[in-house]
Amino acid sequence: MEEKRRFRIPDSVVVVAGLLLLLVAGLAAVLSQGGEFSVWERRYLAERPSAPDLTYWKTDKAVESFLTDHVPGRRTLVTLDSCAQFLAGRGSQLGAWYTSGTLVESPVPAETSAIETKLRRFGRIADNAGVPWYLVSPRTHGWLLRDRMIPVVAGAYSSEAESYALLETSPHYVSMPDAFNADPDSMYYTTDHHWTLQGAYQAYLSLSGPLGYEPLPLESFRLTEYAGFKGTTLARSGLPDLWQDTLVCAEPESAVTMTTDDHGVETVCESLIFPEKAATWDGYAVYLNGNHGTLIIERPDAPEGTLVVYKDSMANCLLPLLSQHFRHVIAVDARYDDGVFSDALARSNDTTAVLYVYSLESLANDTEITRKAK
Amino acid sequence: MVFSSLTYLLLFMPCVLLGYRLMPAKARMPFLLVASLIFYGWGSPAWLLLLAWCILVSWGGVLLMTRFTVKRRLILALIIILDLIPLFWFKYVGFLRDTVQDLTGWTIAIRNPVLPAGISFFTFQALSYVIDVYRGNARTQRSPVTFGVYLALFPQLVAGPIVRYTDLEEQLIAHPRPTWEQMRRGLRRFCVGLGKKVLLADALGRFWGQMNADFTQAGALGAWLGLIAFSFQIYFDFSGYSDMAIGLGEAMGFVLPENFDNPYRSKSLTEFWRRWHISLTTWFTEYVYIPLGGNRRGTFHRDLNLLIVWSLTGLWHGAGWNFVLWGLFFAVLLILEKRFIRDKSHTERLPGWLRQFFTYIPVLLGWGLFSGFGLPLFSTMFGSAGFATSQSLLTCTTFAPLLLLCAYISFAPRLPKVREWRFAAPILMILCLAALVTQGYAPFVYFQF
Repeated sequence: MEEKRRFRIPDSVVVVAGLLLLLVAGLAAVLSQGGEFSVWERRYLAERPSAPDLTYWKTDKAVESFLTDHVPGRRTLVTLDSCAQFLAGRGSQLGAWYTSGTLVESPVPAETSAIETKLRRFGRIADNAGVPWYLVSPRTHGWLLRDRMIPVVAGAYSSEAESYALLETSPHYVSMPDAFNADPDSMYYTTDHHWTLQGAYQAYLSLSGPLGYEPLPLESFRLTEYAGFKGTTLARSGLPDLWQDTLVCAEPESAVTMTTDDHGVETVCESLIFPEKAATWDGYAVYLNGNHGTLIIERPDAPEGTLVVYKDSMANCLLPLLSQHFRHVIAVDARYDDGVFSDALARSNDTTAVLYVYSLESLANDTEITRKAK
Repeated sequence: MVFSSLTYLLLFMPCVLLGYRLMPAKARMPFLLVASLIFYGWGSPAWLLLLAWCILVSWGGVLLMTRFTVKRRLILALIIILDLIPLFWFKYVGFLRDTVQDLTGWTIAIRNPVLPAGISFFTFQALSYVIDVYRGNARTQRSPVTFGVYLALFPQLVAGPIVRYTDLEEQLIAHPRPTWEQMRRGLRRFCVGLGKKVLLADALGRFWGQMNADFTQAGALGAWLGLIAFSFQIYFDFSGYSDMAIGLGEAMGFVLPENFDNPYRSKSLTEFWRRWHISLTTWFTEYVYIPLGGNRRGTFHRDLNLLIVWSLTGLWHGAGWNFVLWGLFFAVLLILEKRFIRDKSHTERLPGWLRQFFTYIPVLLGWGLFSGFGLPLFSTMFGSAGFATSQSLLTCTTFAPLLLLCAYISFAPRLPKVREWRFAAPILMILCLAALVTQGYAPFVYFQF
């Protein structure tokens, strides 16, 4: 029987084509501009390396970073690697877990001493001003979903239990209602670590007692929806855009003025919701136009005085709800603010309460908060 | 420059391989020398001076030695000393300073120099040439370019295999033009080596890094699995580099010696060291162990020679007492094995997998010494920090599939020959590029030696 001949591409063609493909990819990267913003990664890409400094040679690293950031098909390659990591069970190495239709961030390791220090400092700041203080730090999405995870993954979230136990020992800690813990799918986004409007509304309900206001039903706020939101957890994972969320925003109907201060640059606007941000890479900036060092919301017809809020981005969705009840809400984000926490309290002489709104991650790991909460 | 960087993969390698293939015969050696110098000097051009020193001393010294018929031994000693000075200074001066300071309490104001990549490798290659010519086993190389290529040949310059001059002499003189088939085969092997390094070793390194960051968090489970991961990491990292080096050599028409032969499949420690870093073992056997008398002068002298050779092997790997201890650990085990397990009929009755296991365990503990974590690692392995924390349990589970895959590749008696699969090379290359673009590149473990 005549042996079947298998077609074989000549070695010369394979070798030359393979090497040329690599070279073309390399040259395309070299000829790219550099320094541009990568929307899907939410960062600026490496600048073109400058002429080598012969006294301190770092050309190799600069060239490598530039090539890494500008290689053609970069997004496909990153997606490929992320998918491979997830398939190999190493998704957590990318800072995200996929579980029952949603992406959740990795567990927050127990940093009880860091949390204790913050609690002490939070209390001292409010006590010095002679006003009551409260802390909101919701259970993470991963913690709430742990019953749906395989035991060993769920077990890793048990590291958060220590932190929650510590928080609950504080009389100033405001627990979220059972409804929050019972329905995690509605309380958090699929692609982002932030809570949804529903989640923030549960915090709003919980805070009504301590802060002394009568909570309004969600329907009494002006609600707007923005589809196609892709959050930070998805961006960090590098996975393809298979998931997306709808941002739902709520703001009171009455007139409002928001003044932001970012490193001395003041901006005044008449709204708390910024629809134009919904279609950008930072869709979450639809609330309050993103994060600011200091932010003052004025609503002259509100019944209560001033609420001072120290926060991270978790509070961005909550502040429009709270602003319904306070003539002034002064919010400080330590990551973007140049001053210390006591500066915000000095701005007001009718402070009703101090509120701290932080994710567990910030409470455990953000050293900037500890530094500024002196 | 490292093989697992985009600079190398996308720019240097295609230019050099295509350039070398198209170059006329006369220009091939100068081209290769220039390419090798760019490769070595890319990260730190100052290190080129060291390489140049080593080339000049060995090449010029041997020319001088060839001219003189008397005092050749003195010239040989002088060349060896001059070759070893940079190695001693850059690698051992800090170690010596610390030791003297610890013993005497003096303060010696010498800063730790940065260790140039591959200095141990090219110094040993230079010594092999000098000694081979002195012994009459090799001819004097009169062309500084050809000798420069021997010492600086970029595929094996920074992490071996350590090529003896006699292995490359004929090939350097013939400066072969590779066939397309050789290039294809070589590039396939390169891709397999790249896969070992980027897809396996680097991932294992991340696991080991997470475990050794805090042994109290790792627990016994994390410490054991971490050390196992390190044993695989060092194997895939180094054998991956050797595959890449040999593959690149083949793609340029050179035949470089094999450096690994599935060492974790060994059934005795003697066999393990015949399969692990073969070129280094061969070097020490040929240039140290045999000149010391080898096993020709009785058991006592053989054991003494083993102790000397293994102390030097430890020191070659790094300037630290952990490396010396690691070398002595193996010396003692090898002596015991040679003395007490001479009657192989007992051990050969044991199943192969059990003998493999009994060989792997001391090797694994040896890597524990080698890693430099010493007591904290071993005490955690034996329960001082409990069995595991939830975090370490998660990390171990996360990496379990990778560990199992690596264990299979390392221990299985027969494996499919990946490099012969039709699409293995392009698939591996794409996966490696994806990993490098996402995670960046990590230097090779053996660069520090």
